[in-house]
Amino acid sequence: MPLRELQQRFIASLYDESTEIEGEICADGGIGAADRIAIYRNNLRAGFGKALALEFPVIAALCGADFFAILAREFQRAHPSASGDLHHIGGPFPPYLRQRFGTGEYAYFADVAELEWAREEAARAADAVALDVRTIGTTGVDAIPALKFRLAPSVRLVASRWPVLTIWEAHQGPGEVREVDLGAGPEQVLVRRSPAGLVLERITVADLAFLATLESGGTLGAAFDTALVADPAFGVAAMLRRCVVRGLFAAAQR
Amino acid sequence: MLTRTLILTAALGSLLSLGTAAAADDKGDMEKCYGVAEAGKNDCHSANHGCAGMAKTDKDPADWVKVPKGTCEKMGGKLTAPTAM
Repeated sequence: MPLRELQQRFIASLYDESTEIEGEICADGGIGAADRIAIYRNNLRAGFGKALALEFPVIAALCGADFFAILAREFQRAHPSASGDLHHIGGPFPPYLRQRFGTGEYAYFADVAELEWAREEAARAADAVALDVRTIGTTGVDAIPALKFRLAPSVRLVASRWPVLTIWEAHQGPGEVREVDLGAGPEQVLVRRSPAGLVLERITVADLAFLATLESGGTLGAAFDTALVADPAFGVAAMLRRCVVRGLFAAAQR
Repeated sequence: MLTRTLILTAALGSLLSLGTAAAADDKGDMEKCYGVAEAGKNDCHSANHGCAGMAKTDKDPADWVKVPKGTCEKMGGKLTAPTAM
């Protein structure tokens, strides 16, 4: 068998047990070929499953260890890691859960996973120099609504029809997990990085509309308009101030 | 439209009055060093790499676990089979 074909068969056998490969493995004495493959396969799965549980500890707790192991295995089969660095494996996990659980009673798993992945991304995002407000001080009055702001690379926005942050918070710290009313209503979360670490903050629908518009490249005027639709009393001055003080705006790229 | 521009102008004006002191609160260059490989997220991690713990014949756990049995009950969930498989 040519080496390339052998390698492809070997990889296939790691994900699909029915692939015949034992006959090609040299196993003189000691552990048999099938067991050797099983050890390799188990290590591959265990490493992946443990890394996934580190990235999604709340999902792992919600599911319980046994069910999470099944989910991890299913997910690994659909989205195997393309790298030895397992930091990136979780990206497709929230959409995978969304498709897996549909609109059933575990539909909120996908949103909780989205929040957990937003934390992962925020933690590893590039540093950025914060916007110095003096650089926009000379903007002419007519040009102000057309101003654009670049959000810091570590800023993430998560919106859910479930109380995702409350669920996440219920799983933090030692002790019993607190009960959460799934029907408590939607939550919008701003994930950001501060010098002290990751910060998760509840924000209003109007705040989310404002930031999401800026995030997608919209102008200050457009962001203000969408926020006003959500809340006619939206205070844009206070919001801008919060953005600057918390370093949500990055300096313009040259 | 005129009102909108005025509001935004005033908002920006109040921003400038913050000066640089407020912005210094979250200095980008003061941040921790992130992005270094965390324990357990490298395929070659040593703590769990010993083959001994995993050198057992693998059974398909899907045979005996059908539903989440973690903390989801406390989130108002029920222990029934997921509807979408």
